[in-house]
Amino acid sequence: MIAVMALIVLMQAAPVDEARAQRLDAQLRCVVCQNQSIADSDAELANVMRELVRERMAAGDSDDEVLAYVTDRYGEYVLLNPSRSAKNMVLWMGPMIALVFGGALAFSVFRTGAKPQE
Amino acid sequence: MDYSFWGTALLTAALASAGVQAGLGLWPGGQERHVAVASAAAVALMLSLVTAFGVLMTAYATTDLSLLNVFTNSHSLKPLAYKLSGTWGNHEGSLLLWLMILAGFGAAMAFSRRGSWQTRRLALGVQGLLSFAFVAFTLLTSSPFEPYPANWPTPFDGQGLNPLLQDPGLAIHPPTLYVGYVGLSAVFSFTVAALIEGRLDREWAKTVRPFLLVAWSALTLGIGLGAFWAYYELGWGGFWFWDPVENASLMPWLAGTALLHCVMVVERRDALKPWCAALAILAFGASLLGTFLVRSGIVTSVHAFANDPERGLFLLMLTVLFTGGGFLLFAWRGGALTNDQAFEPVSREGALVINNLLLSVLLFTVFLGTFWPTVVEVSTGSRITVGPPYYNVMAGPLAVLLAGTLAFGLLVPWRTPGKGGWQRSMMIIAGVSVVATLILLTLTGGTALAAMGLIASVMVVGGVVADLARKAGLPGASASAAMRRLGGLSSRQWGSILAHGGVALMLLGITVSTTFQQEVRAPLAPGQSITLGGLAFTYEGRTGQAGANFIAEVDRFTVRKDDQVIAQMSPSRRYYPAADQATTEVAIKRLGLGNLYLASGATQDGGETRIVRAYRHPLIHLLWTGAVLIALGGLIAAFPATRAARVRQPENQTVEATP
Repeated sequence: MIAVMALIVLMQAAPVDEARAQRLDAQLRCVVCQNQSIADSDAELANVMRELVRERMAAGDSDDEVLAYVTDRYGEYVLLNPSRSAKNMVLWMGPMIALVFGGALAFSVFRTGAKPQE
Repeated sequence: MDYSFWGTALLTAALASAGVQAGLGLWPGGQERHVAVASAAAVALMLSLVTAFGVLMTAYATTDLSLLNVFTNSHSLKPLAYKLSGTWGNHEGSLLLWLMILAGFGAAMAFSRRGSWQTRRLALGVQGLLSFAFVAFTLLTSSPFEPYPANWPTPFDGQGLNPLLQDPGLAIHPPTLYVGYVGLSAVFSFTVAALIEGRLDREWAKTVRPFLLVAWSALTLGIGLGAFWAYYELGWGGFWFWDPVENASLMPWLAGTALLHCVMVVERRDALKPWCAALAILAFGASLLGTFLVRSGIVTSVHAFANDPERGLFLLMLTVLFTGGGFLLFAWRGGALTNDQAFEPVSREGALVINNLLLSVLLFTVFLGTFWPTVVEVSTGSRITVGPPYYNVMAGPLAVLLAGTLAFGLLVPWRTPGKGGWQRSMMIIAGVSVVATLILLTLTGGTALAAMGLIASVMVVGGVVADLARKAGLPGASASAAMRRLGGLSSRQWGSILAHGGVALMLLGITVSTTFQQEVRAPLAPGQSITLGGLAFTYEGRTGQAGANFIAEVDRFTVRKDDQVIAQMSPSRRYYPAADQATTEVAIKRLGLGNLYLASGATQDGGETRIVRAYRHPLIHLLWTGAVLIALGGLIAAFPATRAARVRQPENQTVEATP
């Protein structure tokens, strides 16, 4: 009974792990390809990088640790999701600031446009 | 025929015509009779460029190696269709196509009868100036009529076209996209003319509307075709990679989408005029930026042409000159455009302001994502990537807000909040979208991104359905009365319904096909199987095959569901000797509204075992259908039927679904 349950749990666990691996693959750029993640690439290097991801997962790394490990070896260029570091401040905050600024502008349009006719 | 001589002569004639058009159009002391001459010059410009293009195409059809361009980009063994489409499969040829379309729109402007003759003369002048600058660029740096150098060895055959481009999708994708990019030039020219005149009004809106809608529809179709090509030709299992060049086509589309909604406000309500002028300049500026980006070498991309920094610099200068000039003029004269019609925030105008704001923020996001890596590399020397995860996080919430605004804008009346009958519809739409999404996600599991996409899709569907119901007088009207009311709708209204319905389908297709995609990758020896989502794929083996200008390895797969054979699929890998390049030809099998997608990878273990990638993309056909509907809606709205034009529609339809 316990063995059967354990087996069921294991069978469920295996595909979940692959899903997690694919999620990580989709966040890593294949360095020799053109703008392709290692999840989609057939290149030799993409194979190597996918193996690396699975190795680190097997070693018990968390998602962030896996990404950090790969980044250490291949550079920040491989991160399809750019780091939230100081130099990428504009990249991450820019749209928010634009939305707030634009919202204020739209509000001022409403203020001046809000005189109902008649 | 001496292709080089005649081609260069025709380009020179085009330069002269463009000079006449620009001079007469912009000369301060111009008179009404000069409009006719400038118009004639615009037509002459168009004719000489069409002929020049014909000359180049003939050289390609006959693989005439006296032209360097033909030698570098063609090959006598290519099928004729790809010899012809190869004319625009390279930098020089595609630039000539770009010019031809620019001149085509210039000639169409010459036949536009709206507005004062002063405005038309100025607009023709600006368009002439654009043509002059780009014809000069072509002649000086990128002439496709450059002869094959006399001191080079006699060529046996051409060097061939990139095999990825030997594809029907790629044959029609660039011309369609260019009609979109370049069509925005007409809008730009009319806007600059209006700014010089200091009068941007309803007449301006009516003048630019058909040009804008044709360009925008073509751009929609062109982007859709590009995505479709990437989907089946690249074999990566996706259709959109947030590649810099894809972004370059998306930016003018976003600006154009904002602009066409803004133009509607100017036309109906005579408001938001300065903002509209700025958007018109921005939209064409984004088109020029796209042109520059593909050809400059500043970004790497699958779509980029052979890059040359010198040409890039020239193009950048032209981009800055025209966009910057437009904005300077706007800064100087924009103050003269007054908003003279008031409206309340809760009104259709208000919704369109929010629509414009959100689309602009999205445009800015795409712009940042495209150029930030360049900024970082230049300033710090380190290379970063901005990929799909960034755009998904940014675009997801914006899509939800846009969808909500769309539904709201369709239902709320112009100018005032009205009697508020739309409030109940909005509550229902918001409620249904959240509940439907929650149910779907509990049943199937899914990410936050899936949730946002689903909420957005359902809200747009709800908005379109509620709008249709209101127009039909439902609930309340009898079925026949409802049909009669729908039959009486103008082509513009049908255009809007089709386009917004297309947006709903597209959002749904994008969300479901990406977030509920299933994929598996495995090495398979002949006889082995993999399963994916209840389907078993068996690798039967492979055969060799020779094509016109390639050799191929064709794999055979049998797909079974519950031991019943449902499909035979044959993905292949091609090798093109002329270009020494291999391509992947995926096999796609439609199942309902989704696709099975099979790509053959490399072989291993001495060639017997094949690495296979199999995908299921549910509902992906909604995406293609949606894109076609959006473009169709734009085209229908661009040319209002004469009958609908004569039957006068009430100017401000504020009919409400009062229950």
